[in-house]
Amino acid sequence: MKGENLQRLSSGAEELLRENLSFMKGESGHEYLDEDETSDYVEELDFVHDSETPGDADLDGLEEELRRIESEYDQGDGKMDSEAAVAVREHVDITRTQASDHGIWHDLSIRKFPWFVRHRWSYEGEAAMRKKFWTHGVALDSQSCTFERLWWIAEITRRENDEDDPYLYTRRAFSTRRFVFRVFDIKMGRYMPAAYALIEVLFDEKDDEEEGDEVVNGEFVKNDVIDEVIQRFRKSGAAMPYEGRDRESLEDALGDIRSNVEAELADE
Amino acid sequence: MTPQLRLNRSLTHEAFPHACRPGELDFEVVEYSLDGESPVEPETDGRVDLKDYEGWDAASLKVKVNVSEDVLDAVFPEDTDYPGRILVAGHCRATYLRDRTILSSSPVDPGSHSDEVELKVDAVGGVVELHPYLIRAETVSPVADYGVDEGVMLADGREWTVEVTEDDAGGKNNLTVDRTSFEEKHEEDEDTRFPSKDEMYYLDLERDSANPVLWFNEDHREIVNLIWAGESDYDNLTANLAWNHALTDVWTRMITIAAIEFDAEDSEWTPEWHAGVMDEASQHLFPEQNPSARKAAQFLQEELREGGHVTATKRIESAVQEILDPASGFLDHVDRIGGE
Repeated sequence: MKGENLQRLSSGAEELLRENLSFMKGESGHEYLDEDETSDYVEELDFVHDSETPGDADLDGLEEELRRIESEYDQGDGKMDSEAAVAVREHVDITRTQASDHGIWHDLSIRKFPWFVRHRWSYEGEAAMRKKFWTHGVALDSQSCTFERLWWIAEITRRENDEDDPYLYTRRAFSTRRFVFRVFDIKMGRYMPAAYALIEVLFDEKDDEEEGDEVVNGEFVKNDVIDEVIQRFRKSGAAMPYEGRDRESLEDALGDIRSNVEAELADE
Repeated sequence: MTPQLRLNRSLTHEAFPHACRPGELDFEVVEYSLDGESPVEPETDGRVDLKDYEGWDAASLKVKVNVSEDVLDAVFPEDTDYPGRILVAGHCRATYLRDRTILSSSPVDPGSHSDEVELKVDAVGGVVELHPYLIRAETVSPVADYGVDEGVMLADGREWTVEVTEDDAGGKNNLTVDRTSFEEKHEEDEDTRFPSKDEMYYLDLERDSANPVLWFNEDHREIVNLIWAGESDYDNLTANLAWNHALTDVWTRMITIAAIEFDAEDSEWTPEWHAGVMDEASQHLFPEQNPSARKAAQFLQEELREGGHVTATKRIESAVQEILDPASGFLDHVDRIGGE
């Protein structure tokens, strides 16, 4: 069935999180919010009931995947992002315009799968936890709620036309939190050729003979290299608008920056 | 190098050590058409309004960039066959989209260059910003005072905005509004950053400078009740006044901080709320120049730095009043009291 159960929470529902530590921590008996409390905020979406409009979601399939991920990764382990992002993007197959409605992501985080939010993030204070349930700003990694963060970064990094593995770059991007934070919290990561070029240059693939991580097959350079390369790339962006260049040209420029940074760090 | 900022002249600034002509490309959206229907000219200069149209799939905008011989001559060391690229970059904040359309590629001739920018209804929402650039298309060996690397910006022009749908008001605000008891904060922690219990509100930039929070003090129970749960029209009018009063300070502080912390050499705003504040305030701060948010931040920073404190703070005062319109709020309130 088309878009079964995909709904949105209207604004104001964030009040339900206020001082609601027992829910955010998932204490016994408080795993879900009371239906009486949430029902005033639940709204239906036009597009899921309209066969003419694209946009579809399979929430049962998503739940199954999330439960599997929950059982395979320890609570708080950021490595689950690589798989969770693919699961969310695949099972909520809606357009960018539809996805720009935060209410959809708030509903998934607060009402439908709050257990997954708690499994992904360890509780580190009320304000920090509220951001994992409710989007507080445009920064995709640090200010967006759990499901909004996963869906959008997957959307930006997936390669729709790659039949072999459309989510290779998504999984690689999520393999290091530092990379996601540096690139997708700011506008730089939204120009897809720049996002791909950054992954291409900063992620080292392993040779076939080596025993690699099945999911991503390789790893990012060290955090201090990531930080410095991205900082210099940002500085160059003020004088060189990224949109003026294609992916190959950005990769060349980034490759040069990486070599310089590594040489300088080796000298220190 | 001394900054070459002149508010009444063309805008060259210190971020570009090479020959560069910011603001000197003429850029316009000539006409637009939806799903291949007959084209329409924009009613307002600088803005295309698609909000009233329904049921379309793709909008095609005919864009035109005009570049003069004078500009080309000034920014390229070459005398002819200028190795440049003219493009229009499009940003849509709601759908995290950045893309571009190339109008002309090496060599770039003086005169006007046109192409179609296509917006698909599935991929955009809210507002799309269009920004024209002239960049260098190939790297050559250094020539003094010229940008010689591929990709370097040589000129740009004024932005146009395309309004696709009403901007979503919820979720991505620049400011979170919340309430708490300041007195309790002091009881919990005597070194708290919260001000005294007598104060009415506090713009909190200390907890997380990237995510400002406006706190209302619950020790003033009636004010908080008015703002969160006013019931009558009179309550709402009064709540408006309280709200306006707090926001006057908030806007003033946020504009000032965004200007002082602006870094012209960084392509990103850090934190991003600075961009939101300057987007809103730029036209009110400099109504005659109507600069981009980045340029407005830079002008104001220069003015504050170079001793223009009176002019700069007057500018901020006026901008904040234009944004909030406190006079109308008070007049409505007076009218209402008079009518009781």
